Amino acid sequence: MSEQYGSSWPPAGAPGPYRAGPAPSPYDPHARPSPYAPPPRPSPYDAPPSPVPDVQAPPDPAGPRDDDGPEYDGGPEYDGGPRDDDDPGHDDAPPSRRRARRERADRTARTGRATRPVRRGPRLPRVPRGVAVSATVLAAIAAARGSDMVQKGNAAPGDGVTELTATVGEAARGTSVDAGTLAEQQRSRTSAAPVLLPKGLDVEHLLSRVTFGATDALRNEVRTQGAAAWLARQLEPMSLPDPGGGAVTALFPRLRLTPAQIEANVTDQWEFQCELAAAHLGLAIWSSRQLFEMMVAFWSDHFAIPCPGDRAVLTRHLFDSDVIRRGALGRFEDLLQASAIHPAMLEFFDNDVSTPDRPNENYARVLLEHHTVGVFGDITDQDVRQASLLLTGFQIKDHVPRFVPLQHSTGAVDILDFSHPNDSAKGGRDAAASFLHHLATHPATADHLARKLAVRFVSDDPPEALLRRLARTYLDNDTRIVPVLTALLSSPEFAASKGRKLRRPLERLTATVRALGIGPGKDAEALLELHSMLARAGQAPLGHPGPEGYPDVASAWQSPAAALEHFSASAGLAHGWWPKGLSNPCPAALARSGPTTGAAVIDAVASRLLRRAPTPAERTAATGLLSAAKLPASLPAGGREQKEAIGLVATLLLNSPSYVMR
Amino acid sequence: MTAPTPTPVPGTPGPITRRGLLRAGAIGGLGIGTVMIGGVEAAFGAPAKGSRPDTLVVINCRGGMDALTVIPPVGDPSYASARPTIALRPGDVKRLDDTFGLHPALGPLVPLWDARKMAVVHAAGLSGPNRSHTGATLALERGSPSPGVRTGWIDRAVTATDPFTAIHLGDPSLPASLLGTHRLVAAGAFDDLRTEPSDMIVPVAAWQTALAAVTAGSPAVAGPIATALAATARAAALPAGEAATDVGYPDTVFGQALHDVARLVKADLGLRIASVDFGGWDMHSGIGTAGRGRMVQQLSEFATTLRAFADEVGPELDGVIVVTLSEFGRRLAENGSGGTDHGHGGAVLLFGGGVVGGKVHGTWPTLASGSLVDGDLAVTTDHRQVLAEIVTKRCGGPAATTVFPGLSPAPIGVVHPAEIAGQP
Repeated sequence: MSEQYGSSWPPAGAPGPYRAGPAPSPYDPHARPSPYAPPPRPSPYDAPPSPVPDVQAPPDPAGPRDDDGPEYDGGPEYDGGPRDDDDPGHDDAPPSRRRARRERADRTARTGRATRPVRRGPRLPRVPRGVAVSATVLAAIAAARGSDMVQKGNAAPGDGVTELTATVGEAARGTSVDAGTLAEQQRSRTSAAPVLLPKGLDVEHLLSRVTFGATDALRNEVRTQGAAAWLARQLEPMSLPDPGGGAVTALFPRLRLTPAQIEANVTDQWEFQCELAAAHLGLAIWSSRQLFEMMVAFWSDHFAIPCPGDRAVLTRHLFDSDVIRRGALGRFEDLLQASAIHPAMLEFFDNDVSTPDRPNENYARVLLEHHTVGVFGDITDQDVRQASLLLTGFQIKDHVPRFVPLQHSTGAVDILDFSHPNDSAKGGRDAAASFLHHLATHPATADHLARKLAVRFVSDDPPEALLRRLARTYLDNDTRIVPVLTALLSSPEFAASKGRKLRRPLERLTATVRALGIGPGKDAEALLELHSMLARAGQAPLGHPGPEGYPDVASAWQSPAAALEHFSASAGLAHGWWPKGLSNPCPAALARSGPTTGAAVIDAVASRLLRRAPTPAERTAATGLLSAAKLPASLPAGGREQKEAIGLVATLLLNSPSYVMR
Repeated sequence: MTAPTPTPVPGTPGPITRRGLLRAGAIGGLGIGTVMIGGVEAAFGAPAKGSRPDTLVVINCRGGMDALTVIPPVGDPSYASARPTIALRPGDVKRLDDTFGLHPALGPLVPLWDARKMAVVHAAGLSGPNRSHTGATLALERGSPSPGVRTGWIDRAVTATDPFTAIHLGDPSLPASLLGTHRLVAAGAFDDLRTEPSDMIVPVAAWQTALAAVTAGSPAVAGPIATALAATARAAALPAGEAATDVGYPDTVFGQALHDVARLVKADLGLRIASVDFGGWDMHSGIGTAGRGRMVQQLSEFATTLRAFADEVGPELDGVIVVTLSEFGRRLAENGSGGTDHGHGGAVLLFGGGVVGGKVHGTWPTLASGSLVDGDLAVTTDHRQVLAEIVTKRCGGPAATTVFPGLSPAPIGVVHPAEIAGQP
């Protein structure tokens, strides 16, 4: 390379960052750790929480998962028939396709994208990209934190230090705020009554909004149970057996590790974090608790803590299991109280190092702008500063949150319409919990959540009347989420919104995999590859780098790159080319009747994917594709040409509005 | 909003490019001479400089760059006292003038400064304080604090419909700055713009026809895939380059993105504005000192990447302007975690041959307590003034008020006037 600006700076051969080549990554996917210790901790997915002795434990939205439950049967669509493992690398694939596959593999190897997703230029928190980066960054943070602790003096036992439990349903216990009691939890979850849906509600519409993609199995369920009863069961997810979800979580045993075990044993921490994101994706696709997973994704965006990332590496998965999954269909206030003191949240937004004389405003601002009253509310800088003072005193020791009264800033606060004397250090925990309670039940928070939920389930610009009703329902029901969802899904506005939402890359991929009847297989790598596809499309699950989470309106998803990635992903899946390791019955399963002419293939695939005859435009377009592929008039059953024709037509239809809209 | 159409070149299809002009000249039998294009004189056979509009490269420093650490005002008496553990000392930095220094981790860029191809506009930012990432980023990317403005400033600054007139790299999602009337492209990496192997079974043209037919009537579906397929067809024209790491870039998304920009500039595909994300500036903790900490890492990657970019584009740097933007600066006082919270005034860094370099531009409001805005550095230069000056003087863009509605243009002299800027 030319060196036209001289080499006087830095001196030639100087060590340091200036001339460094790519540093070896601490997260090298090839540097597998030695076998990790067996999980001592019950999995967030597999087991119910330890019951509290004197109170009946609530049903756990995250469990029980059935380790010894029924074997996953290959997906709701798969009938046990012969699978087709054909791919472009098969011997009968034409050389051009073998070359394409090889080139793609080369590219993947070069860029490492098979297992390392392309990150968006991280918006806010920075992700280290090499060992030097990571070590130095962490050391710098540790140094800053360490000096802080020394400066302030570690609180000695007896100073009122209290260990906290950052789990939904437990987080606010021990405070004077009567929030999240177990009895209340139970009440909020015992609404097995059928949801009152409007007469004649389109089942396809319902399924396209409350699931990650309709399947024939789901259609059957709704037909036999009735839409209202089916929805009621979805709102009580633990009543549903979940072999599909179990098959996914079984692929990621490391997600059961404790922070200390991860620290000691997991050297590829980047990959480890990708596993959490890939598990999210897998559960969205294959869990039978579809509406639950939809809400898990919703709250993961609402309380966004980017994963993978360089902060909260050891506790991010616990945030997922102890907060999001336990609280996804409970009370919003429980989510908020638990999230506020969770070590992942404390660490990621620096609240664990916020001190009375030098408060750190990061978390307070996120709490107000994103978690509660909303960014366009009337938040002043003074509100943020006061809130950050009120929220001092929460620290982390050995990955466990605790309240340290000596580190709590006392003094009256006046934040939005909340005021509190905050006159004792020991009462700081209660004062903070009261503030969170105030925020959770604030009308602006109700408006904010009503709008987000309506944008998720109804339309990009939901009617004001609906928003008002939802906000009212939220406040009238003590911040419970299920009544809001019920009101939303039974509203005429919902019924009238069919086809108005653009599927984001996540939902395009999930709907595609589900429609194609693909099962998870036995290989975690395949799910990690699906995760990489989403990263290339701009929506890796849990990956949004900012605290606002992924946007949910069509205008934000007009990226040609996302469209192109969906085109490539749907082609790879429909042809059965990639990712390898999934249980993929395509393309043969898309046309079981074994059509042997182009016209018959078009009819068969449309019937399978659209459940109707192709429109004239679709037929013409598909015919044009087949003729451009120079396929013979007769397609021998089971032959390469027949598979190719099926794959082409399926790819076309999977990129049509029937799939890209919902 | 209707953008002015580009100046037509009689007999020359497509955008004006230097190669296009040279080819036209050669075909016309012109060796050395001049022709009039839309009233502007273009010199053939003359040095390349000025024969086409500059390419503007916008680096989005997401998260809020702490300009007081990147370009520390070590000569301002209030600086060190407000930052007891993270202030840089005069001896730590490359001296820029009596007030400012350059963070030592930006060392690889010092030769650019000395060659007057780098400049700074300090105390620059949004016209009014907005300390929310979301709100400030939206105001920055739309180029207006007014909620009535719904398109992005880059969308308004481009005047052609070619998919590579403006591109966002390093992130497959379009930022708000590129949203609007033009269908522009975003990609994680340029090489992602491929259709293989589907295009080996069916040519891209046939896919374009078929997909256009099935998506007709649904613009939100039809538009992105049509743009994408058109882009892949154009992308095939870009020669395969060397790997980014082989030409000095760090192995990062940002490094790959700037390498892709350099390839596009050198291939002369008509790129006018490139947008590249470089996040990670939201340093509420652990900013560190001159020799270690998050800022050292951040700036080392930044400087290594920019330097590799300058080296790769070589003499074509004279036809490129690189500018950094960030949604806000940071608070003057450090917090208890060795970091800084969201603030107001920041700085814009500029690189390129057309830059009035070796100079810190703008008006320094000082850090004296009476000059601060709610504890933050004041903004004395609306960053839109910097962009408007570049776009109109160097990039042949439309009028400043088209790009930035409501702005009263007040150029501050950060770039030299181009010999030809293709202005109407």
